[in-house]
Amino acid sequence: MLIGLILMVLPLSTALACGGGGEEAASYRIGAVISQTGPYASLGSPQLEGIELMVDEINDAGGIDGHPLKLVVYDDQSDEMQAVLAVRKLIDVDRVHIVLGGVAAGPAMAIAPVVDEAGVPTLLLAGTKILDQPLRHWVFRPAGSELDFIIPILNYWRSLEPPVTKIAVIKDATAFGNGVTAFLEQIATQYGMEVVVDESISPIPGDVSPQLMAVKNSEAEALYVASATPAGGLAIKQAGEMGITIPIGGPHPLGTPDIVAAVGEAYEIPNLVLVDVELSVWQQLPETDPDKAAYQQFDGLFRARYNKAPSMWHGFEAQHILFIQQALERAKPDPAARDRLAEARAAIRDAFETTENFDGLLATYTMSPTDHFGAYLGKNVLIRFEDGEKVIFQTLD
Amino acid sequence: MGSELVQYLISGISQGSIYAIAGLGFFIVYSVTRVINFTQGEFVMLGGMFTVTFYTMGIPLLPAILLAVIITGAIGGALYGLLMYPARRASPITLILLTIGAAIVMEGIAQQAWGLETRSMPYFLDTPSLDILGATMFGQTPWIVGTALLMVIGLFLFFEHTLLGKALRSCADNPLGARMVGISVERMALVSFLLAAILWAVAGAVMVPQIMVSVHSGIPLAIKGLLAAFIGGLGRAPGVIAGGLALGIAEAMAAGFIDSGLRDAIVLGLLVAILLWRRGGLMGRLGTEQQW
Repeated sequence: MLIGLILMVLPLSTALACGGGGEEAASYRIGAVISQTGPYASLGSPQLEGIELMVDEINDAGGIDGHPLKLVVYDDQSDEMQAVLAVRKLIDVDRVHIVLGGVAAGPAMAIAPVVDEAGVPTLLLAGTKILDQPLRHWVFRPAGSELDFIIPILNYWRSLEPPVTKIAVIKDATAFGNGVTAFLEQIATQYGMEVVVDESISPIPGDVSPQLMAVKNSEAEALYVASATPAGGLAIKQAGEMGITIPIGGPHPLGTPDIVAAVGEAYEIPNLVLVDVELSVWQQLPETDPDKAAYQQFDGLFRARYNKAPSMWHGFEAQHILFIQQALERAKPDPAARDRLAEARAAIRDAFETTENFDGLLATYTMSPTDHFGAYLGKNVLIRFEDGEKVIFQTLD
Repeated sequence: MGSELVQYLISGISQGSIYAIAGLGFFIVYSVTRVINFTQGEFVMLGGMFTVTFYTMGIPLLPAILLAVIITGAIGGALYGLLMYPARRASPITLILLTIGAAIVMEGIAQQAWGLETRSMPYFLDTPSLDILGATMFGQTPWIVGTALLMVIGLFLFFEHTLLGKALRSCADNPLGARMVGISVERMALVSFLLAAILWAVAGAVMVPQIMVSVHSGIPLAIKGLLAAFIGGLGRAPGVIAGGLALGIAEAMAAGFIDSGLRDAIVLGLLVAILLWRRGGLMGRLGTEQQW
């Protein structure tokens, strides 16, 4: 981990350099701060695969207006301080046009004020709405949010007979877990519910039976597992073994392949319903779904390169690169003019903000000066686990 | 209320057993070499990763664990032979830093070999979870506690009734005296590294079905094992075992009765209080060698 920052510069497609400037200067520089080691590496590693896939695709197709994308990646080691150091280096040394980073809420919170002060257009990757406040001039987050992975679950619980009124939360003791729980507590009243138990678990998997006991002995009628780590999957497994049969719900990350593989059959309990992206179960979507073709295309592209099925994280990061592409196509800053970097950055920022109906893999985004998140509900489904497979339980529209 | 208390005790004893075995490995290496071996957690991780790898390859459980323990033990021996032995004349601080460096390298290699996924396997022999007085004992818990018990008994017999065990103890008590009666302190140091690696590998193997393992599991476990050893006082085995159990139970009680979000803060606060109250740990002699 201390070995240091890993620098990766992808090969440039050279011949397309635009008139006048040197090849170096003629590419759009994207700096990525991704957790490749430490506890968030299970999020960061697949996200980087998604980024690299899309950057290479764009470059192979001739870049953007003839300018290739140049990717500079640093590892933040899942650590806030390392994230800040890396982002400073991207801004001052690598002089990037755009920063992409913060796979988890902690590192994302740490870099937001730094890029905002330096005036670099930035996309945050973490999926919690606490990052949207305060609204920062230079920071955008075309990602997921609690709206995606809490509201569908609450709607489902409200539709049960009798409707759920008291909920328990088990959360990762992380910025993500805290953010999700705060949002849940705030919105629950609108659904006629209240949070009666709020327990934390360490993001490193362990025995959480004391926390589950508090849930079991409470009057809670449903359990929300606000976790993005294998610890949350393990908590669900232990809940099943402890005979907790109230409805259990949770966010997308609990359904990502490595957590599902680690938890195994224990996920196949009838009371567990998770939110997932349509992308991860696209084969089961009806032919009439307007996005099915796009999912199929991405799936094929991804399998051709990595020889495995894409997970949510892959689609997520591919989407960020596509978001950057559409903004660059509209802003058309001149990457060759080295002395006009600030101008180029400002043009890209403005293009981010004027994004309208960007049809991503996970949601459709429309940005505005007062909204740098840009989506309400993403393209999600409710899933259950049966016979080792994810099965669509409810489509959401 | 009653069922909660039982649940916290079961949870605490099962986690505490893992901490206790991990702490014992610390204790053995420290007694003989005066080195705090920070690679501990990585060996627990290796024991777990090898077991789950062999098991998923289709090797039956017992041979899978044996293979994992042998390989991890061999890595422990190699760590001593390649790193600690050549540097044995260096100061303890240097040696401790060497183990920290080795831990980081081991984690890096493991990440290259296994990737980042968290892994798990079924409870041994698919033991079902049991209901005890309204509390739940997970199917793996009897295996964890039983293994810890067996290892403690085995270690006791080894140290009290075998020549090798006695030689180890003599090195721990008085290295110069041991050398004078013809015991090779270097060889005993090697034995201590081997023994510790084996203990840690077994802890890793029995832990996987209950709490999973990934290449990043090492460092947090190293900290817990070290805490267990410090609470008990590094110098005496019963103290370390008690320290491990106390740590596990304190964690479960803090999470259950007070606030699960403050669990680690409460437990570490207790540790500070204990060390202020008794500088040598609950039963130990740690810190009594140097006065300052």
